[in-house]
Amino acid sequence: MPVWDVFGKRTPGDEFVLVGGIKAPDTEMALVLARETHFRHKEGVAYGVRRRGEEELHVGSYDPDLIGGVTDRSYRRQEAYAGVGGKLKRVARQMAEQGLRIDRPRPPQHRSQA
Amino acid sequence: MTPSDDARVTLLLSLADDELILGHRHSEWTGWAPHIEEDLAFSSIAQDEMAHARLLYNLVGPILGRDEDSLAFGRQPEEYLNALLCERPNLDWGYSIARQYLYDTADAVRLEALTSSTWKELADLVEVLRLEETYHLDHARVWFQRLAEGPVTGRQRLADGLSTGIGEAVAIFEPLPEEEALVSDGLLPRQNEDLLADWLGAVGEELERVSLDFVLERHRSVGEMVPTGSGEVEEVGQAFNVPGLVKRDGRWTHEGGFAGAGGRRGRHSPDFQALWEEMTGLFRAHPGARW
Repeated sequence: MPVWDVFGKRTPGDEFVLVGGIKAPDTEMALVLARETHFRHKEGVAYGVRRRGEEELHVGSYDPDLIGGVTDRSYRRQEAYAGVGGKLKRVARQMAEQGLRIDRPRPPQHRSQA
Repeated sequence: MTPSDDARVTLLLSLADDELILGHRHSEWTGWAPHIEEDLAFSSIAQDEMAHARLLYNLVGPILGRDEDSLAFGRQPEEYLNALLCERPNLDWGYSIARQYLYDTADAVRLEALTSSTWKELADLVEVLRLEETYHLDHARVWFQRLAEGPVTGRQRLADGLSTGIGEAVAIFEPLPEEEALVSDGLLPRQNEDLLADWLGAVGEELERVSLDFVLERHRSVGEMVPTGSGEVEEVGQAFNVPGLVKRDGRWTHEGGFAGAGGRRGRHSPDFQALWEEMTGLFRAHPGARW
């Protein structure tokens, strides 16, 4: 299956820059797949694909406002660990008010370097 | 004739439940699609469909006094009004693409009609949905063409998928309860029967172009419906039948009418029960939980 380099512009004034690569059988399929694999979170305002080894850049025809969708996609952001520290402190405080405490030791600092 | 709140609710839930349930089925491909690029693309489309359902639930929520989670996960099986086509298991990639093609071409016809709905909030919302649905249709057509015109195995699987799905795709246009009132008031600008004629004519032409129109004559009938849950659905006393498909004056059309009751009246296939149990399991296990 041919390899296609994927290019994108973050703002209208930018030049196209390489952002990644995909495999696809032809230009049309490459453009459909490039849009969802590299621009589904509003990463840019324009995108294109170039078959590796060739010169021609094929630019996607979608309006800049449509790339990355037009509905609220905040639910797609990975925020599972946001606010965990604050939540731990809040829970610890609530437990302390009840005369309880978390006595399980915390993991050692810099454990990945140990 | 002014449609009741129930009629408005039915119109919105039929749209929203189609999107939610098909989105759920699409999402089952995550991690299993034919290649990684497609895995991301199909998963993203699945999320779009669920996001569209969410917007529609938020429109109907105030009428029912319920929030989006309660509507998406807090109803009994017979309260879901999705078309049968949306709840069927994915089978293989050929069926999944055939179904996406059939559903999104049908959805495009009904959404276009709804842009002139007298329910302004719905008409405005539909304009937004159509922008994203255009991409879904592009995706479906790109795959459709490649499978239809590609090697024989892929073409055969697509044909099998179309044969399996097309009868139930017709049932996307099953008339709604109180449809007459919805149409006369302009909430639903055109009858489902008219929308079905438009869709069938266009799909018939596309299938003829790739010599797959035989699926319109040789297709599986709509599966037997079963009452789900408490059985509070309307008793109709006969199996669900959809209009027959025939070619008249060079154009594919339908003859006969719908009989019995299908998804729009809460009557589902046995496949729906397992989907419902999995989809709503977490919500039912922790009533009222927030996360």
